[in-house]
Amino acid sequence: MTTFERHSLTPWLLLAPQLVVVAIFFFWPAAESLRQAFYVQDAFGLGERFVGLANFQHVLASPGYWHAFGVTALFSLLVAAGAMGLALLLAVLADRVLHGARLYRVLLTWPYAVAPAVAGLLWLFMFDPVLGVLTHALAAIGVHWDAQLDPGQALALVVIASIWQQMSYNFVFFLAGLQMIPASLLEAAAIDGAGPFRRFFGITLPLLSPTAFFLLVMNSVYVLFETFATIDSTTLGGPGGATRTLVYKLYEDGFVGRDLGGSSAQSVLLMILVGVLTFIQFRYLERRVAY
Amino acid sequence: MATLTCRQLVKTYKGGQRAVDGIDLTLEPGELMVVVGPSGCGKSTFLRMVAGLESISDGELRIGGTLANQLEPAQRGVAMVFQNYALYPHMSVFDNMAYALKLQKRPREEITRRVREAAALLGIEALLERRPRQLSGGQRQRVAMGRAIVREPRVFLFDEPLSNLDAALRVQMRLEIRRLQQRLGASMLYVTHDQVEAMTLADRLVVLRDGRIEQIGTPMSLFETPASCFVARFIGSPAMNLLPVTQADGRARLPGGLILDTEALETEIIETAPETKADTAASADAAEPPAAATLGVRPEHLRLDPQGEFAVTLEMIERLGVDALAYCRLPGLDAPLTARLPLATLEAAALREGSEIRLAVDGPLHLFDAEERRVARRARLSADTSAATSSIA
Ligand SMILES: Nc1ncnc2c1ncn2[C@@H]1O[C@H](COP(=O)(O)OP(=O)(O)O)[C@@H](O)[C@H]1O
Ligand SMILES: [Mg+2]
Repeated sequence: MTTFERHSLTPWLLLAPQLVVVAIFFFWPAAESLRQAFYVQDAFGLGERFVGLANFQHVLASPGYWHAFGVTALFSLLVAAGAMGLALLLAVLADRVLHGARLYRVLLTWPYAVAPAVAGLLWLFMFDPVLGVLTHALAAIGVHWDAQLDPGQALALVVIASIWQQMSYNFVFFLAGLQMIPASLLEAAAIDGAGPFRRFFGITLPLLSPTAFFLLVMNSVYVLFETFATIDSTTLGGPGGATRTLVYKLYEDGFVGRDLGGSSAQSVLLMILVGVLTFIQFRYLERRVAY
Repeated sequence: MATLTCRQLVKTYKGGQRAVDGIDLTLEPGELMVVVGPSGCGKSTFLRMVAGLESISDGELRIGGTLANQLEPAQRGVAMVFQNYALYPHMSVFDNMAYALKLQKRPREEITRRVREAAALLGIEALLERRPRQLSGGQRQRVAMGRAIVREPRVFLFDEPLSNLDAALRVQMRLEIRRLQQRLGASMLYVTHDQVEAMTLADRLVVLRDGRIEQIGTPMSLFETPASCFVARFIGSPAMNLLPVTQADGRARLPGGLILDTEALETEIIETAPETKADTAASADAAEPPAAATLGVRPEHLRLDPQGEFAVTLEMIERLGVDALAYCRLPGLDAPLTARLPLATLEAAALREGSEIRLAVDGPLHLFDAEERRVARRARLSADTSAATSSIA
């Protein structure tokens, strides 16, 4: 113990570079945004005036905000369900593979290494109205695809790109979770008379629930923040706001519309939303998955 | 009708390894049969084939008279207790024990009654609401047995169920399994690598080596008449002393300048796997059984005697309490010659490491041929007088 105490300065010195970076690029802007949420700025950013909660009132009263809220909720639901469901399916299949298992795992993990903006572009190309491979494939089965015009298709495009990205992350965790389940548990269940489906739903799934819970929290945060790049590189929130999520609207209002006060108020609301969601998940879901 | 019959059971894993290589055995109703052998000899594979967790490559498995090769695990009427217990961590003890009955859609009252009966039998009624992680190792072990008992299976299968327990608990659970087995009249197939566990539990013992049966019999018959050097080494603790026999000047000689005289026995019946039984019968029928290549004598059958045949140097003493193990060096023998001697006699003779002592054989000698199979001969040891003999010749 004493050796640790005596050198109490060393760890701080070692941490210093990281802490400085975090302070400059995270805490400072966050504090600044919190402050700005209570001010209005003039269009040139030269002067500002304290307005109390007026920014929040304005944001919460605008139909555009609630529209973005609805888009975000739908988007989150689709991405979390899609990315987790697909990842679980692939993990279960990869867990059974006996030969070349490693290759499958590496290949399925790769998409996570692709930057969200690049992932968005990849899917944008594949779904390009003129050149896209998938557009042609869809045309062959009689579907006219143009994500720049059709709001539903635009949403589908960003949902697919986001699922594709997040799926890898979930896959790694689900696979690790599956491999932690001792084979003898499933064998005992088989002897007890449980068929493959009962074993999956009665043994495997409950034992994966802590993993699934963790991923649900992670996916929610991912959808609320990280999908910005995907949207910005593909649909730009359009058409007609069909893919304008809360984080994208915040960006538009602040950096395109130059409404810094309103944008800051939205970012504070977003942080509160994440906090509340995480709290609810921990409070109510974790109790059900702990064993 | 036999509870379980195996005929030439074979398991070939992908890659061609024959983990189980032609097992023949019959488990009688109410019998506790222990399969014992060193790690990797195919015990688990064999048990899992019976349970239906591994496919059967060749041969025939009958459970309660019906062919079971292709049956699903649940249809075989077997229950298995795993080494790591394999309790469902997200279910209470009650639900763990009730799982199979629930899947069979038994009435709720019947499930409750059967679980409570099994729990009472094992003394775990107070634990029914707990989760497995809230239990000690011994309690988990009981729950795992309870889960098996509730199902009222035709055969209980145990795969090294006590290996994860500490020594004291192991002895206690061993007695408990035996008590339960007798109380329920259950048929059990029990796998272990621990020969003490095997000896103390078994009605009949099966010694497995490289996927083949080396010998089947009651623990005492295996102890008294091991069919091979392998069984001789494996059964009994400390292990039997094995001394090489060499032929020179027309006489059978042992390390330490001893002469071995043998005379053929009429017959000697050893229960082994059928094909080796045929071998033994053939050699017994033959006029002259094969010559001995190895002589075995158990450490318990050596005693301190100034006129003893073995002149040895005492190298190390292990005190066990009442007895002591004396590890001695016999000239010409690499391994130590082990004797189990009463501690009192050692102390009375004021013996310690380095003392020159003589040991006499006070019990049966075991002979094995060049193939390490038991030889049906009676043996006698004597000191070498060949120097005199050859001078006369
Ligand atoms: N799934 C498997 N695939 C290939 N070989 C296996 C498999 N399981 C066991 N073996 C091999 O079969 C032999 C017997 O194994 P096992 O039955 O587990 O032995 P034991 O239980 O007696 O220690 C070992 O050599 C082991 O390496
Ligand atoms: Mg084993």
